[in-house]
Amino acid sequence: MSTDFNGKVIAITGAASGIAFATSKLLAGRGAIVAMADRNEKLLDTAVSELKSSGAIVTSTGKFIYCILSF
Amino acid sequence: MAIMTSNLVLDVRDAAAVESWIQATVKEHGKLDGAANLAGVIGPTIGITGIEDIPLSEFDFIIDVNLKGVFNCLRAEMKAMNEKIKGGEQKLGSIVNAASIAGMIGMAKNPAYAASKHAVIGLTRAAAKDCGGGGVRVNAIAP
Repeated sequence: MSTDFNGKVIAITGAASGIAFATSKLLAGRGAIVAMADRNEKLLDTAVSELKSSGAIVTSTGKFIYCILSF
Repeated sequence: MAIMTSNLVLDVRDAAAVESWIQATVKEHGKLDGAANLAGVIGPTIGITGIEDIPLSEFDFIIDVNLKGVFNCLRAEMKAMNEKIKGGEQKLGSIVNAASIAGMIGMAKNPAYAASKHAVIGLTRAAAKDCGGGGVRVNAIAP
C-alpha cells in the first residue's frame, strides 16, 4: 500500500476534530490536497490555524477551505 | 448545476451544499482521488435512553447526520469520481465511511446511533457493488 499521497485530492467531512482532523493532518503532511469541511465554523477555524502554524499552505476558493501541507 | 453556497461550514444533511462542495473541489483541483466521510454525532442521550425513551427528534437527528449525511456525501463523491474516471482524468478513487463497533453489534441504550451505523455498513456495501470494478473502492472503518 502506498503511503505517498502527493498531489492526491481528498475530501474530508467532520474535519475540524477527532479522527477526521488527525486524518486531514496526516494526509496533508504526506502531500495531499485536503478539502476540509465541518459544521462548526469556530472549530474549523481553530483546526486550520493549527495546521497553518505547522507549515500548511491554506487556500480557500469561494467559501471552502483547502489545505496543502508541506511538512 | 452546482450552486456556490455562502457558508464556510458544511452540514452534511444538506445534499445541495455537499454537492456544491464536492463540485467546487473538483473544479479547483481537477479530480477527486479520495474521500473520508467522517462527520457524525452520538446524540445527547446515548447510554441513557433506550428505544422506549429516546426522544423522537433525537432519533431523527442521528439518522439524518450519520446515515443520510453519508449518503449525501457518497452520492456527490461517486458522481464526481466516476465522471472523472470515465473522462480519463483519473483512474482510481477510494472512499471511506465512518461506521462503528455499534454498527456491528447491538448495545443497550443505544438505539439510534447503532441503527445509523449498521445502516452505514449496509450503504457502504451497496456503494461498493454500485462501483463494481470501475475503479472506485468504497469501504468503512468501525472504531
